[in-house]
Amino acid sequence: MIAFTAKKALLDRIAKAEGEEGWTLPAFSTPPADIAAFSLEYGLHPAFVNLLIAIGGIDLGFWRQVIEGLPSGADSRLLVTRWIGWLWTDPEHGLRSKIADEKLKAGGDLILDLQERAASGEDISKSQWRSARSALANAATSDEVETAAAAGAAAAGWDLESVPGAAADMIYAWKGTFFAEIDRDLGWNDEKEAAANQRREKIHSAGLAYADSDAARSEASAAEGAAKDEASMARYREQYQKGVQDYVAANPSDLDRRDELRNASYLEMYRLGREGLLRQIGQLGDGRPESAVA
Amino acid sequence: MANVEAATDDTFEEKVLNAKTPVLVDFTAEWCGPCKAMAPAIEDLAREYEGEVAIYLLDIDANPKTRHAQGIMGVPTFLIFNHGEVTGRFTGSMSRSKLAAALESAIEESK
Repeated sequence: MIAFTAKKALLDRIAKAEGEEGWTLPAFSTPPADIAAFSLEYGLHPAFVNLLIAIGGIDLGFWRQVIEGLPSGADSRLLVTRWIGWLWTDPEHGLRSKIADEKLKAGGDLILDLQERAASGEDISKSQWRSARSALANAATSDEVETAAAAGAAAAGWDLESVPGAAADMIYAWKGTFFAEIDRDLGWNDEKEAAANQRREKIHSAGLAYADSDAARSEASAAEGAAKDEASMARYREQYQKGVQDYVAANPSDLDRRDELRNASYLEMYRLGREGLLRQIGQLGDGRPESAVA
Repeated sequence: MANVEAATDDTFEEKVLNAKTPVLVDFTAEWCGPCKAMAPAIEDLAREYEGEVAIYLLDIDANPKTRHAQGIMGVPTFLIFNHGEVTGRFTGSMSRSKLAAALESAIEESK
């Protein structure tokens, strides 16, 4: 549980990171032992820190919002369980709402039930977790959206004490759900996939051709030297992008819609994930620091 | 990576192709950020399936022969072998559960 002094210390650390010191908080490539040490230092559960890394990335504003919102004495492990519950059951955005198959729904419900029992102190055995995950994996459906949504529940089917990254794993499957919905809505199929791949190659070639012709023009009047090389590389990248943009503008295609929608879905997913976590924190209390150490 | 052994061009046949149990090979590279992000998951899987599945890391830059032989085009790539045959191939970041489901199928098939 996060104590008042630890919360203050962590907010100080975030303030330093916002200043000249730069990023000193855990990130996606931080080794588990370092995440565990960071968690211990600030009284946070490693599963909570893993989730914060996954949905907060290096957005210091979000880190600050989360830590400021945590009431002293907050049980951050419980928050992770509640976030898992939110992502599974939220009527509007929850993964369960995307599933019609009763077996898959029951499989996801069982994972959430195990998480809630574990959070309340019950000892859930490895075989119970494994069996719950297997039930979901074996409940086959041909619907890609349902499969991806069920994978989200399966991703959370681990003991958070020994596998603290499990809740953060739900993000992969959540992304898969967004992508599957986009493909369904666009009627995406193998034919469109092949056409999109061909188009990507053409776009890439157009970018290269434009940049190469610009580079050839520049070389004729170029001075030698490393500084010139760096500047040339930057210009080459810039001209490549211009070639790409010109080609896309001159040759519009609905095939590009998939990538546009995927990029937008990423942003939406992280926005929702952050809102979901802040909502769980908001429900714990008013977030004002207390003087007593819980 | 702690708790996960490395395989090399020299040991691949013995450790992977001739293994009696299913094997998961994580094809990785020093410079690969997503590989580092997947490292905790691979360690967790090694603990979860200890004795049932062997898990190895293989650095594609240090082991080009195996990289070419297995057709590795990007990292991270995860191959599951059962009695020397590839029974699962996954590329990119993914959840522990996705790899776990494939490993459990391989364990069942190997019985």
